[in-house]
Amino acid sequence: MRIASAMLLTLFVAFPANAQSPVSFTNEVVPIFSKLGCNTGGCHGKLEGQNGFKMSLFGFEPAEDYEYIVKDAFGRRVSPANAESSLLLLKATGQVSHGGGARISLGSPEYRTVVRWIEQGAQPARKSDPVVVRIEVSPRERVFTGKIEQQQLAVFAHFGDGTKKDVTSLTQFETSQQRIAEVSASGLVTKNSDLGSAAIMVRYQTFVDVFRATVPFGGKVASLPPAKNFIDKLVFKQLETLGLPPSDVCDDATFLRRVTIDIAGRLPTKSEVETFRADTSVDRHDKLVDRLLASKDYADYFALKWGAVLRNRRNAATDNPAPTKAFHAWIRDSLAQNKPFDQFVAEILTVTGAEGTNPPVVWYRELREPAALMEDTAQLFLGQRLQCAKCHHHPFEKWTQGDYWGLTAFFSQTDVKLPTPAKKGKKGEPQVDATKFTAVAQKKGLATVVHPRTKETLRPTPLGGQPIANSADVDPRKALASWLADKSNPFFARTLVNRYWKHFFRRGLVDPEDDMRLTNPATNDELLNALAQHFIEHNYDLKDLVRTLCTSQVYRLSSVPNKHNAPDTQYFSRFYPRRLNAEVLLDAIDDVTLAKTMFKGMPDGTRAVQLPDNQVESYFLSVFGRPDAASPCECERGSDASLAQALHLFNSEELQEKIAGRGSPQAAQKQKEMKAKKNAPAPPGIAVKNGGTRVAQLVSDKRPHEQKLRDLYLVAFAREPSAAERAALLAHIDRRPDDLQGAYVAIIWAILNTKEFQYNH
Amino acid sequence: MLSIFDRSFENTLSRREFLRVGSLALGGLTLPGLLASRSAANPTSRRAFKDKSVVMLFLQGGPPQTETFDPKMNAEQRVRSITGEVQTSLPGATFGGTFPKLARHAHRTAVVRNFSVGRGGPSHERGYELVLAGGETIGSTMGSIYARAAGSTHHQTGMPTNAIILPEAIDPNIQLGGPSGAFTLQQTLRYLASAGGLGTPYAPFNPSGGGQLLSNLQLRLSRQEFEDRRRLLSQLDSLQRQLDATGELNGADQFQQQAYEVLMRGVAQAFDLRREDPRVIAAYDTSAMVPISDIRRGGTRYRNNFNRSTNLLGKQMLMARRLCEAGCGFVTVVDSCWDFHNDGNNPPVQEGFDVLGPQADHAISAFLADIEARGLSEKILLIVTAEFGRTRPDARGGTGHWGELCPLLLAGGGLRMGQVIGASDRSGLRASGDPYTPQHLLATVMHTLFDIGEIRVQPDLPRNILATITNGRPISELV
Repeated sequence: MRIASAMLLTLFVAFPANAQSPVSFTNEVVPIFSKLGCNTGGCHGKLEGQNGFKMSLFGFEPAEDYEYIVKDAFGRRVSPANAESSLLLLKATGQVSHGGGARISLGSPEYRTVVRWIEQGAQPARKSDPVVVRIEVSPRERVFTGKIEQQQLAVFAHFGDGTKKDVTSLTQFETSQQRIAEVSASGLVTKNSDLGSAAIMVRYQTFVDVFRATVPFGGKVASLPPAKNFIDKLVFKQLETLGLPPSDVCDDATFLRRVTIDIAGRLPTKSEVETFRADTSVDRHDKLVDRLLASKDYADYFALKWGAVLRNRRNAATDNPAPTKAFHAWIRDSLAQNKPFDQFVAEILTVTGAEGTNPPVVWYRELREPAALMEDTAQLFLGQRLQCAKCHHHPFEKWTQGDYWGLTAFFSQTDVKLPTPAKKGKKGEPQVDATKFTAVAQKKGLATVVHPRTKETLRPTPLGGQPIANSADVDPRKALASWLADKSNPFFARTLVNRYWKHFFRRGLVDPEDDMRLTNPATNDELLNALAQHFIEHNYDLKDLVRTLCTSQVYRLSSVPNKHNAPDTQYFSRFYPRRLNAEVLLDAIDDVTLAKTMFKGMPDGTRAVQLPDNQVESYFLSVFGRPDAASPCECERGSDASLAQALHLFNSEELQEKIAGRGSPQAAQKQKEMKAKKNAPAPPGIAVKNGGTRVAQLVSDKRPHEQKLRDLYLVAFAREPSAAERAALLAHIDRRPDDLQGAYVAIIWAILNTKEFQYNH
Repeated sequence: MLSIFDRSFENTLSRREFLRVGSLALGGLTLPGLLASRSAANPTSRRAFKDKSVVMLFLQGGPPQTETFDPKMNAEQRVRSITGEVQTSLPGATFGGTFPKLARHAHRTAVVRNFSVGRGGPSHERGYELVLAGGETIGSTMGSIYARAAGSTHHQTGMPTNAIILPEAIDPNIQLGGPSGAFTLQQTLRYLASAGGLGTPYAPFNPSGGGQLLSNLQLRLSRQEFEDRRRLLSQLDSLQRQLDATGELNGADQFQQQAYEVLMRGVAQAFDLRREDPRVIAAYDTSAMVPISDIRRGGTRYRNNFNRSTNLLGKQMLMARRLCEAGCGFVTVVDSCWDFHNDGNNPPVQEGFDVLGPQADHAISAFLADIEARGLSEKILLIVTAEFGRTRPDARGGTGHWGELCPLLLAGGGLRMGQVIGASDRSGLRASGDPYTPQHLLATVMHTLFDIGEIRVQPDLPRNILATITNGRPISELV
């Protein structure tokens, strides 16, 4: 038997059911249609309506709804003379065939409200109707401890006239984590099987609020590693509240491999492993982070990350690679010199001129339209997905169409000129030369946008702010960049630190990282704010941010769970393992096999993480989820395993050749074929000079197998083999007394296919 | 003849099983023979499977119901089929004018003329979801639901149980489609190959990985060497098993297991059409039926959305049959660009059917003739459908999306054939009486693949999946 925590489950009646009191169309009738799902995008809420009956999406435009319900179709939908026989009710109750089925039951409170409204003459919204200014859910939070399993929510609307009413029965509820907590249509929250925290979104009219339900893990935090910085303090504080003891701090070898992959996008080398093992100083971890940040590998790896979300792409491999190479180099150099992030963003947003010489123009080339430029800006740098608000009020957020177009206005005078072919001049006019490059320029005139529905002229307006006082001579994009960098900007720093948190901890404090709406709250808001504050105080210093994250104790926690924290997937009580990115994995395989992947059009020795754009062909990278740089979302990078990946690592020519080396029978056969075909081009996706030399080295190396295996393990895993592993490997070699080459090929094959190798842990 | 089993693999069959198929195995177990022996191994759980396969030919784009299997030549002018009608082998029933070959097989088919997938004119994407996921179910395609219940690879052959065959599976070097729109490869895979919330292991296997995937399916090592390496790998993994104490890396494990089975059991042969009798290939081949080079050169005016059409449908159907024989339970075959708006991007109805109709007619007919000849028509259910039908043509011969009627033809699978089910109303836009819906189609598929009574008592299946499989009502005339 479940015990409700709210013993006083008072059933407020939202508005007195007094037949005399006028029913408010906006505050009482429309919310019923929202609650019952009549005005969703799949039904009457879509642009063309459903079977001739349209409603405004989610009831965000009550004035329009009044027209649709009362006036359209010659007023046949409501019959004040006989309210209960109104078509609106006959359909909604299913008494007359209705594609959506019966949504309201006869005699229910909702039914009676609509009947009363019609009986009163189906009045439109009145000027005297109180206007909602905000809603409030109560309680705001509940930790489900002990036997408490349920919590009834109450939702209050605050009106402009200072009154407050219970609107629980007219409110929609939705949970972010079904498996942690469910919510009923009446707002009763029930804890479910999973542990952790869920956000319950409540929505009434255009307003939203959030209730947080937390189901603690039930462990006891007996000891914690000593906190090194504010990250540790804030994470550990939360773990204590949740009863979630963290895993132990990982060993040095694990840390070295983890941080080298995360900062430099590669495995540590054998000599790095040995140096780090020999270092006994207390601050060796911090020094390691500094060394990695100073290396060019850091810039390479993060340029790969930024290039993908900044759309540094070509449509086809035959397109000119110069502009994307230039943009890639620009990103990499900016990161290498640690350009402050606000400046980095400002230089992209305010770029003018031609691509190639002005590298960020590539971003404009891919987006072109003011609205598209604004949407990417919002998603990348403000953590806001505004796409929904283009056509209607954002259903889960406060943004309106006005906000959308006001922000778009910053780009309204931005002219993106695409390359044009040469044109013969008309009589008397000079010939128009071809342009080879995309260019960005500022058009003449004042930047404004016309609101598509209200036809109001909108000036450039920061999100949630006031229109700027722009003039025709100043590029409004400069004002946009300054607003972003303003220390009081509520989005900019939070978005970046959250994005970087996700890079190092697999899950954003807000996740997905570019959807930071009110109804998708951070799992540790205090920490997110503190990180943002730190980032602002350090003048948007990216390297400092990485250093702060990687030198925390939290980053050093082991991925191995203890008795309580295995189910934790959002509080960082352990390190969450993740598969190496496509590019990092390919480079790591090359490091172990001593093979070199050749990329078409790239200089010899280019590593996969250094590739400038999406069009350098590689089956390996495609199958392991390299992004196409066609969206501002990091989610484009595939991290899911697949059968095709497993087959490739088990059984592809590419891997076989990397492992077995150029001297392998397969490679020899291939060379023969190539010779036979003379100048035949290499088959797509398979590099020619692909063979690795590791096996040959191991075979000719006269040292004992123990030592050779140790070296191999240092390269692949940054650690020595355990006694059991050594025994297994030596036994394997013993089983093939006449085939040392084969034995080592099998060993490397097995190493590359282990989870330990393929994951950062 | 295709031998799917290597002799060394026989030890995985039970002794009795081996004796039963033994005589076949000696001569190399043929695919049909294998299909027959597919029951087996673990009878308690296998009892829930009816040992059948479904091939769904999806005419992506949504051809008009009137031009396919419901010409309505007796209706008023604006309702009638533009491409005319042909008499069929089913007395009283006619098909659209571009299906003369299929018309001769009509007595082996059942046409559903009151199949309605949704109200009004949904988008292509919404249509994909409605039809392939059986309407308002758990949002996973039928094939992935089947894979979830059956396991993602066949318990004996290692064949993925759910597959999708795009033109790229036949010609890996083909480059199709533009960068945007509902017919791009990306959107096609996203919707037609979706596993919804079931997880990627159950999404359909797509054998079109740019050529390399197919070559990766052929084991390059000796079996012994491969086994030996895998043993070493398991040893190393298990010595570090604390790394996966939470089971988060389990997905990778599952795929390694699948890859192992696929490789050891020689599944690759099923994807290799060269192993097929040349006469059979010729019977399926449709490459001469579509003026494909003309389309590619921009010879039609409808370059944008016509550019995922190919002349490979015949071979796609042949591969579908081979996969069924090797243990695949659900094969989705996609033929694209049946979208006839006549809006500059897409052709009008007549021109569209001139290009796409004869190939579909031939490919479906060749498939039906072939499975009949192989005695597989009771074992394989063919479904021909789309994401929706069309509105009546406008003055220029263009049509819009229309969900309230959608083409649907079924053949084989042990269902009752040789009938026309339901009817459209006079307008040609709605069902006369209550329509059949994607839920009914999903239930028909599940009743074909599963013994519903047995699957109900499977302890390992999540309840919502079980409910999706068992709750629906099949099209009553068929069962």
